[in-house]
Amino acid sequence: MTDLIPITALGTAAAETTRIGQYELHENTGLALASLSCADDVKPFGLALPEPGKMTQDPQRRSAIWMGQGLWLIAAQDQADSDFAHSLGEELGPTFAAKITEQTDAWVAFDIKATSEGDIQAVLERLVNLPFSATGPGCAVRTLVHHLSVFILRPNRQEITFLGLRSYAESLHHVLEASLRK
Amino acid sequence: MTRLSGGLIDRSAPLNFTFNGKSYQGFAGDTLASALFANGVRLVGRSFKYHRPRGIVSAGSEEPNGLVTLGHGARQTPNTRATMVPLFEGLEARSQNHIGPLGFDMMAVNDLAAPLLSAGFYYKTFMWPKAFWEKLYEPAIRRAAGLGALSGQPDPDEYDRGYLHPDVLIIGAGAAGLIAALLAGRAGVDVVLADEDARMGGRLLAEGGVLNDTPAPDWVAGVLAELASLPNVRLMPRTTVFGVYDHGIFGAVEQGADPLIGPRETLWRITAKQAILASGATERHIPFANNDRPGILLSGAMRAYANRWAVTPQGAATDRIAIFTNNDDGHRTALALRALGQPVFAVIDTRNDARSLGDYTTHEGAVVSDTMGRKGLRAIEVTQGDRSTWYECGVLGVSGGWNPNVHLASHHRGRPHWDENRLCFLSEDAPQGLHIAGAAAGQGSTEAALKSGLSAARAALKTLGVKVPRMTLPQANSEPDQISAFWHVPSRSRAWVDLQNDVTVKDLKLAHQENMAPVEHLKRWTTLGMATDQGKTANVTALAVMAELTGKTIPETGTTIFRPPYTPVSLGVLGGGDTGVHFRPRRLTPTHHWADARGAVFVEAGAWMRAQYYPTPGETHWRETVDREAAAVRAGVGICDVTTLGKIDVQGADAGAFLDRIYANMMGTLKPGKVRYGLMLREDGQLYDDGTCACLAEGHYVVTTTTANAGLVLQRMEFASQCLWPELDVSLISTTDAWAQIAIAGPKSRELLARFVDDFDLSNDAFPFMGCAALTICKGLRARLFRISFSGELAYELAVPARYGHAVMARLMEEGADLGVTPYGTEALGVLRIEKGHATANEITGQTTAAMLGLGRMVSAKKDSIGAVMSRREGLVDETRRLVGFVPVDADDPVVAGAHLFAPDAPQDLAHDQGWITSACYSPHVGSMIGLGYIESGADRTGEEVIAANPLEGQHIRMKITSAHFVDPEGERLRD
Repeated sequence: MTDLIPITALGTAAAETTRIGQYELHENTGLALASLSCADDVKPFGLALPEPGKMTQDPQRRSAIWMGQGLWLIAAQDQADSDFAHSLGEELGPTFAAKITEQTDAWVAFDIKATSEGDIQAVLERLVNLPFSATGPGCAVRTLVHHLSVFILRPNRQEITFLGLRSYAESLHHVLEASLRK
Repeated sequence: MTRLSGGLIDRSAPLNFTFNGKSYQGFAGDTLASALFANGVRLVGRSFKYHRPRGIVSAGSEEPNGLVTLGHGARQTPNTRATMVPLFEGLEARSQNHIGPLGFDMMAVNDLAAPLLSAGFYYKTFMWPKAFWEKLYEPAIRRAAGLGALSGQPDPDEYDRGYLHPDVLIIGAGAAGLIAALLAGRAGVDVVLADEDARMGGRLLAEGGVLNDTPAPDWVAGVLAELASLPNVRLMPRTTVFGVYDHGIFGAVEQGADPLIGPRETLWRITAKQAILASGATERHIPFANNDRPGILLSGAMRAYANRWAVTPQGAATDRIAIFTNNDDGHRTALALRALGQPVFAVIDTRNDARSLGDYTTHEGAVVSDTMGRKGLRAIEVTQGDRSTWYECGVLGVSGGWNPNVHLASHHRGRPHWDENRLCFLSEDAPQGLHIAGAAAGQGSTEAALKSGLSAARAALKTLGVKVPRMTLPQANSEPDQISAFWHVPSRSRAWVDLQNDVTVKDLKLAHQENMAPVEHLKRWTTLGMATDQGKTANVTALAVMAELTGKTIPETGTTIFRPPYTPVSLGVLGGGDTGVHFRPRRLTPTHHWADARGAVFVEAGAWMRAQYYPTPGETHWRETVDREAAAVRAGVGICDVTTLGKIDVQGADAGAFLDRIYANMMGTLKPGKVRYGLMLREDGQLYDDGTCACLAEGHYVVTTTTANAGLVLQRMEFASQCLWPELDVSLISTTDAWAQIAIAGPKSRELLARFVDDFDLSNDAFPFMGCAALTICKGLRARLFRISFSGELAYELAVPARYGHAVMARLMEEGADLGVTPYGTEALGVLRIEKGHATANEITGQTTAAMLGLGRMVSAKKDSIGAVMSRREGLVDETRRLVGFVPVDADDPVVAGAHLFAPDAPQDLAHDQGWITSACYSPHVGSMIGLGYIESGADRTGEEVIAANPLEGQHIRMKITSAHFVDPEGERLRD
């Protein structure tokens, strides 16, 4: 185990949670990510690979997110410090003609939790030019938020995750925080 | 005080406010305009050009006169319509456009000079001398004629933005809009109902009518309560839909509910499947001599003030009231005011067959031909036939008919057409999916508006394929609405057509004489219809007057076209609220915080912020710092974050073949553990991008690109993969952000790195130049190591997961202290690469070829690749300019990038231009400034002298042509 100490995408030693009214904004530093390019009948961790704009999820909150033509992002909670791309390769085994690329640090994930779905709607309609119905639970839409390319993931009704490029973490965090404050 | 009983104000909630420093009181529910009337304040401003005393004219967003400045300091907001400001506690308002007190404006002298200030005055008068325009005339005119002023300070207010996607957007919450919302809401579709007013109800709040025996305001309240209870309906008061854009997109601005809490304004982009325009109508006035005095209002506005706000525009309660009209609606005002016990003494009706509808005198076939009262109306002259009589009169309501608010229906260049029966413009070709209803469609009576709103909603629901619920309309009055054309009262005095811009009938006549009759010319010549009200109360009247002057019909004279915005939109809300550092997003490198803590100076590279240089105590000039950093790399070891260079992960059985087609040089033969420099060409054969390609394993490569082209190269490769060669098994994904990449450069770099790697042989034999490997560092952190060099020194690039970039940088500094490890920024990076003769975007401009870089042979003839065939065309093959180095003959002379190169005795013109300098810097290694550049036949001219001309600054500097490689031209250091 290395003795080097990582920092968060926001440059802090540990992930911070900001509470604003009925909202909680949190940088999910534990999310491990790897891209998987393969045929759509592959089932990593038993997850069915979803169609465009969708994600699939198992009870451990491991998920598969549609990312592009024949390309998915496989995500697992609390495994960011592992060599997740390698683990995914092991999971799939050598028989699959899959191409896997480490993506954990390519992204920053901000989770917003609210007390009701209406609160989530209030945030989304200020950030995203999509009908609220297009961002229902199970969605994984790629869209723009204040000029930033993001994935919007809806694991459930009261939560939403914004997945943005790690280098834009500060800007994305500002956009989300400012929007929650307004 | 002229407050009446009744009204829709909350007398239990008094509110204090000031106007021009004087304290007043109004009530919740008041607007600033109604509160001023309630306090007997009629003079609220000065006119644009003549500085004539002016009062409030309307009760809505069309207000041309009542423009005030709200607040003070940085929050000062000019040109606010007093009619649209809901009163709040502590409101501060000031009048505009006067020197000295409002009542004694020194600029009122302009009014005396009116004969000189006619239409086209500026164009005719300030012709010469030319230099005077900017320095004298314009500043003087701007001071004399104008509206309010900005504070000049940064705007401290917050703004927000958002997006809505209703099935039906309804614009306007009057009778038509409310009934449409009710039907659509009950049908279960998503509805947004927007109204610019703080209180919904439109004219139903202003009229004294009943619906189903219920007073109109109560009926409105009932409908709003039902709409509020429907989860699919969103009520948006204080929201102006200001523009219609392509694909059913509407722009809207919502004013904050509280002036002190939350965003001041929110910009909404509304994408609606169907829309209903129920924006009502704007009353027009009738120009007559001196028709601009405070106390002269639109007749419908007087009704609104009386019924909704329980005020009249009288200076004193005994002031007599008259109405001047050409239609039945004027009589409704007389009736309404009489019902409230107000002293209406006469209705002056232009129609010969006019009859009183109540207990007041009607002067039929008569006009108001003049008025008196400098700061407020005192008397009117009524002319009937050839007999003129003066009457004492404090308030005059004027009604010239109503103009449907078809503005939004015209934003797609739909031209309204003239309806001869209703004497108004109606929209004929509204954008698809926009239904027009109510007064906006010429259906102004309550009964007609309700019918029309219901019909529009039915049409919208049918288009959506939704079952239309049954609905019975409430019983409403059908008010008389006869009108007879009458556009202005001819006079030798000035009669104002456009109150905001001080355009009179005389100005229109003059424009006509001067052949500025087309409406487009008329507008520019006279300034008619400009500024904040955009001629809402003036344009149609002006058109009709011009028609009369030209002897043509109104349709022959022209029409009126509207562009967004419907009412003024602040730049702050269009900007979306982000200012300063957050004005646009920025990308931070994984070592940004580390560099920031060391006091690095940053430079923008696209969206990236890169450390430009790292000043240390005692350094007073950036050059000092950069020279130190560059020298440290050459002598020892330096470290630099190079994460911003694009990284693209390429995998697949056909990855090698794919890269062979992307790169001009051979790449498919690259073995695992090796790196190769590569060139990409554009389709036209010019250089596109350069970088390295590392083969990590069989069928697995990492392509690096320049910082600027990172996204573009991936996009291009993705296009090639998906569209050009879908048969190739290849997968692409960006890993730019995933890895922190740090250059470790200098003769001691191996020694430093050896302290980091876990069981990895760094010797030249085991890990030679252009090698790459996956390894671990610092006891187990997975990393990638590339032996590549931009500086020309022994160098490596170390990649680690981005979250560890900060820690690795810090550890490198700790571990390398004894080796003199020095962080360096992009400036020193530039110096090092210029000294080495390496190209960047300065050299790869999109108009340069591989041959010009001296790399022509890299374009492989053994295979095809993007741009290879086109690179062999005549024009490119014949190109003789080559990249060379330059040093000034006099070592103290500067080298300027961009300077053009000429033979010493040749004329310095395009015909004799031999090339240009692409990059320049001070070289600590050479001891003078140096440059890179392209020059004709450059490969054979080493030692020759040329002139680098910089005509912009009159520089002509003697340069000696050298090799582009100032450092280690044989490349021994980097292979060492």
